[in-house]
Amino acid sequence: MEQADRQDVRSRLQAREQAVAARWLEAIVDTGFVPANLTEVSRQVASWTAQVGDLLAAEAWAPEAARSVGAALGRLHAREAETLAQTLAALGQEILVGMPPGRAAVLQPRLVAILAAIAAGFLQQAQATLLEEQELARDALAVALRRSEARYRAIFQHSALGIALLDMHGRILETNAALHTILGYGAAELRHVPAVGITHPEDVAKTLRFYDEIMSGRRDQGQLVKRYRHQDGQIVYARLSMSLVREDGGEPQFAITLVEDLTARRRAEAERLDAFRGLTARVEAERLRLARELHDGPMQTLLGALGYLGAYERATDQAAARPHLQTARRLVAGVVDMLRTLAGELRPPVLERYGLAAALRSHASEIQAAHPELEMHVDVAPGYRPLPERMELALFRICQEALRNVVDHARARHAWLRLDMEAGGVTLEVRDDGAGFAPPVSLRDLARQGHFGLLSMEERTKAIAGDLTVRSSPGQGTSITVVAPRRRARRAKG
Amino acid sequence: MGTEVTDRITTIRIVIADDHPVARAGFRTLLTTAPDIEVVGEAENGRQAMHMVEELHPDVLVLDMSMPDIEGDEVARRLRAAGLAAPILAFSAYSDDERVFAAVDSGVAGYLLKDEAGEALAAAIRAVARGSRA
Repeated sequence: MEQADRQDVRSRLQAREQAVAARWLEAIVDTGFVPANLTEVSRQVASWTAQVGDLLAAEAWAPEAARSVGAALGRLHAREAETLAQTLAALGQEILVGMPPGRAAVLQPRLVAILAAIAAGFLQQAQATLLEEQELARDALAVALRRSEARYRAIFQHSALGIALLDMHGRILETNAALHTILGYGAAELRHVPAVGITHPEDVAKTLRFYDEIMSGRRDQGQLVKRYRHQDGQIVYARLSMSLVREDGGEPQFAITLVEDLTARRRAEAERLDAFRGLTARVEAERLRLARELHDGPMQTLLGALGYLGAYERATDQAAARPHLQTARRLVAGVVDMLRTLAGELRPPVLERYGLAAALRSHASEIQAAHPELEMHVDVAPGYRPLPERMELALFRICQEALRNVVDHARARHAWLRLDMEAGGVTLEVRDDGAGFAPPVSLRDLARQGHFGLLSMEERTKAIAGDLTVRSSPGQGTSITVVAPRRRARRAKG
Repeated sequence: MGTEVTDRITTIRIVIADDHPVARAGFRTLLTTAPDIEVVGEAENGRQAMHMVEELHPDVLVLDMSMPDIEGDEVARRLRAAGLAAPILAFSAYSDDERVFAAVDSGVAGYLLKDEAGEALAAAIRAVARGSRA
């Protein structure tokens, strides 16, 4: 084309610029995207239009310029392929309007090439943007995953329950610290030992059955109580909860096993059982003592009385035999006394009729009379009010037991009983200045060391929702204190 | 109870063994009304009972079956083993089968409940003494 013609093209294109730009802008906005800064965008579009015009009119042109227009368009609006389509249509239709047909025909191939370059630039930008976005998304996902993983790892590692992840062949993939503690094996060891290797031989069969149930997919979850063998040889009671983890498609991927150590609980139960057996034995021993006392006292005395009565009956000279009758009467009266004493031991009558304070005083003076070397002091606070019979009986028994210990073991010079009432609670204290002892720590030790008295005090205290405190040390005397609420406390939930 | 009467009746000499002194005193007093029975010794445990049988050779041993040191049936067995012939009247506060069978197994000649003693003690002693004088 001649220079003059080119000038003409240029001026015609410039004259069309606004119209084309407007149409182009319309096309962009039409495709659903309303730019926040419409002014700025229309300025850009105007600029692009001018550039395209220049390229069209130029003598020689390079596709890069058109590409960068496409790229700029892509940066504005990369996702909408329609933007590109509309752009190409708008430019294609409008830019040569009003151009003389001869010139238009010459310009047509270049226009096509320019439009192609715009398209290429747009696509490249779109790709680049997409990649960028993908990377950002991947990074964000990675961060989120790391955070989430960190959280799950924390849960896994710091859980108080033992956790193991198993693959569908039953091999251990991962274990946490709690599990290592429960079983006494480290992570590496657990990975290489089969589950049966750490199971108590008698529980192997049921463990295998359980695993099979879950791993075969027949059940998604299950629980099993079993015994493990700790690395140090001890038996560990544990509750297993196993659940299958399935992929979305339903295929089981791996199994999570939670292991709860029941040994501590079982040990506590065994201790209680021991302690109670001891208490039961003591009750039986007490019964035996009573049976013997009844036999050795009232029974034989009555047999003796029968003998005297029989002698009186058979006597030929009944007047001479009168002493036999008197003896028999005396013996029977003696039995009445014995039975009264025994009954009193079984259930103190003073307590029933006159209440705890009177019963304590009466008991203390009985002990004083039987043991002159021990000085008894009873202090009942003026604020003391009678309690329900159940409570008073429990407190009396505890006091009886405590004083029995004082008499039997303490070699004390003084013993103090104190009964007090304050702030909705009752306090009973039995104190002595005798030999003292080292109180054992657990119930089981109490039973083992034969301190059934303390054990029974503990049980009676608990029965009235109270607290028992034993303070003693060798050579320092002993004090036993029971504090209990006046009203039965509301049962704690759970 | 004139001496003539006593001469005509053969006196049954017995040792009574029971660890309860009051009961023992009652039975002894009861037996004073039986002219043909003489209490020649009282024992309060198994060892004493065996000792007295050895020393005094009574006609009958009235033996409490549950004394503290040796069980009554053991005393009976030992006396049998030592060849001491005195028949034994087992005397007990209990009548359960096991005790009775155990006593019989050990060789006692009779078994009497203590609370029936009033009526039957003298008669039982006589029966046991008769039994051995075939």
